[in-house]
Amino acid sequence: MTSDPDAALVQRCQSSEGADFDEAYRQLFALYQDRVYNTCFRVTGNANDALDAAQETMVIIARRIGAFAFRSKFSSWVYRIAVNSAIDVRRKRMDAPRSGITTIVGAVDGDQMMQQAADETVDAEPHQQLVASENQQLIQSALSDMNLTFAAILVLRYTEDLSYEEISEVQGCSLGTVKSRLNRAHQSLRELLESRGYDSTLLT
Amino acid sequence: MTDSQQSSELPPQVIAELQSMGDLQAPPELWQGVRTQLIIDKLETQQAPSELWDVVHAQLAEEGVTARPTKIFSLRPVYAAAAALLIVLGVAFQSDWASSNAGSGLQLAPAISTEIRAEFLSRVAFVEVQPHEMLPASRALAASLGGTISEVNR
Repeated sequence: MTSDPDAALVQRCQSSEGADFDEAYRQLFALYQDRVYNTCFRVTGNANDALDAAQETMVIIARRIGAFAFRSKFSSWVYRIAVNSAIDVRRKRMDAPRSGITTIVGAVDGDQMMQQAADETVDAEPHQQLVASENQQLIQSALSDMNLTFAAILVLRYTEDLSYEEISEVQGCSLGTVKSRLNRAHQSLRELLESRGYDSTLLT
Repeated sequence: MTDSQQSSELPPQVIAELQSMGDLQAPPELWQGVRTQLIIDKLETQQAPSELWDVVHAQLAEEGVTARPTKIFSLRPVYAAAAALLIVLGVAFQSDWASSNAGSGLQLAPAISTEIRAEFLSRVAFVEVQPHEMLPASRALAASLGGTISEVNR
């Protein structure tokens, strides 16, 4: 018997079909939608890509939940799919030819992109207040520009508050690798923030 | 090394900012998009009812349309068969030649000198091959080319 807190709901999804599955999956969706969207937003750096990646994540979960065997925590599995989807979307955006709308998005710098994403999110959901401080904008722009694996590990560790063990499950690596990656991610973030005028007294 | 020691490598202010960035809510479009995709998935897995063929078949019969076999090869079957036969005979002949050479110990190395080659041709009128050294296919091919096969008692 697994001690996974999501086990009962996941097993309901696995053992049901039709309307019963829809109902169970809707509950699972409600449980994870914000975490998935937030992770995708922080890794991709903008609302449109985050929505694409989050949608891809939730569809993959619905399609593959029947085969989930509890070899890891269910939440780790979800985060793994979310991070991979976000990385895929961000890679596609970076690889896309700079024409049309892509040119417009690609031409703005990180701060503008963050502000644009924030505006889009606020427009899409009026009751949702996205209060991004100047420092948060700088951090988001740094996340958007840094190595994808480093950005993902910082988001998982600090924004999503995952333990090292959970991160090792999500990224499919050892604890030692998690610590090593996290160290390098810290260094990368520091350097990017310093180069972008983040208050240096706060970095010491 | 504990989690707190590891995370202390980032300044507390930056950690606090990162932690405060986890409060985004998913927009309602997310559920709409996922739901639409899952509905499309279900549509894609629908199978045609078994009655479909009966209906279509009856309709075609009524209109006098008959099904014709699809032509897979553009060449006539006889050409394809002839080509296949030639390939089989060629392979059989070659393997037979190789095995008979190996069995008799006769090694025909590539001519390294035109003089040696001319010398060989001037001395050797034919190479005798024992019937038991030939494959049936080789014997058939030799016969079809006008060759004679005779048993020699020694």
